[in-house]
Amino acid sequence: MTLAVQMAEEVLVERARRGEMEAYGLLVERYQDKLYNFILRLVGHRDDAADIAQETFVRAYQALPRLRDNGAFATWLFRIAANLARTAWRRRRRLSTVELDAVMPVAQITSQAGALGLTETGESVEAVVEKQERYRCITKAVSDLPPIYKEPVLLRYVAGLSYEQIAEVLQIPCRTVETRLYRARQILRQSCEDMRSW
Amino acid sequence: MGDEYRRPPAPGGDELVDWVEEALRHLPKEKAPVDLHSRVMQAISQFNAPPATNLLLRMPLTALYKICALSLALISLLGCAGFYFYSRRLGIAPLVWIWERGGKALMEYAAEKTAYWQEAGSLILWRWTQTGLDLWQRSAFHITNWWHWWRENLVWVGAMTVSGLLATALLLCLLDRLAMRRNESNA
Repeated sequence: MTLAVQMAEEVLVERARRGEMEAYGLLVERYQDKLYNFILRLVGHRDDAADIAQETFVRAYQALPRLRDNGAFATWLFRIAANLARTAWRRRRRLSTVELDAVMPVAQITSQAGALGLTETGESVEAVVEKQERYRCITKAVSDLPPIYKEPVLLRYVAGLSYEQIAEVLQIPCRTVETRLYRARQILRQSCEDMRSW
Repeated sequence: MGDEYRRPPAPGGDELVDWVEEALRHLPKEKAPVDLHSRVMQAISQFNAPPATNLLLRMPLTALYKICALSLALISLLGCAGFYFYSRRLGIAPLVWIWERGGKALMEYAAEKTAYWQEAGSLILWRWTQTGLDLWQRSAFHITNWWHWWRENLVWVGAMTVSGLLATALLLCLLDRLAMRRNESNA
């Protein structure tokens, strides 16, 4: 996050703290997609994810006066979300199982061809199938990760937080975040190997 | 990442870890539900008051408590105004009246109490030091008549123990309270 954006965010947080709902609306707009995706992959259910995201924003607004550092709004928001998602997950007593089709329709995958260096025109059927297979593989592997690895992975790759911010959200040392992410990648690698060897 | 599509490498080896990293960076993402923003804003607008910046109002007070506090403040204000205008009507300066009737005596009482507690405080401190020194000296010089010493100093040693325990308990309570506040802010 650039300094200008960070400063703008701090201003927005301060204005929201003073009760300006428009400022808080902008913050919600800024974080809703990342937060929703993070929660969706933790709880594995769209309706639950939407409810938890809403609850997160409402709780954050209520507790805004207690936020000491305006610059730490993002980490604070994701910490609330992680706590709520954990509670919901425990309450439901079921594992997160987000299949590819449940996360993204095939049409959207095709439209994201550029993301992996594929051009819209030069894409062969095999490439699309291969890509779908990879998405399915990685999505399944991520959803099967144990929570202690899944949370840092999602915070890093879905929410786009830095190692320091992840450490702050999960309240663990930065070094532990690095270790967990490394181990998570190893597990994902092994899972992908297993799936591909079928 | 290059412009051309790179076929994922065969399973195994560090290259696959790179592929995993790359795939993770492009994990499929959904847009949040279109009504999420409006739901949040609607839920927030149902609060009676915006989040307060005032330290006193930051306390989680219910609407009832707020009404009571405001009513008390209003009654006090009305009372003060009433007293002021009534005394003016009687031809008495209100502040002089307050000073003559209660203020002077109150100040004298406060001064007396302050002096008393200053004296008591210094006495306690002096006894703390003396008892400590006494203990150290006696143990240092191997005084064997401890029974006599204990009987003589039982009250002060007891007071030191109790006050020490109380101070520790107070410190623990404060630390606990700080931890609670920290947890609250984290939540």
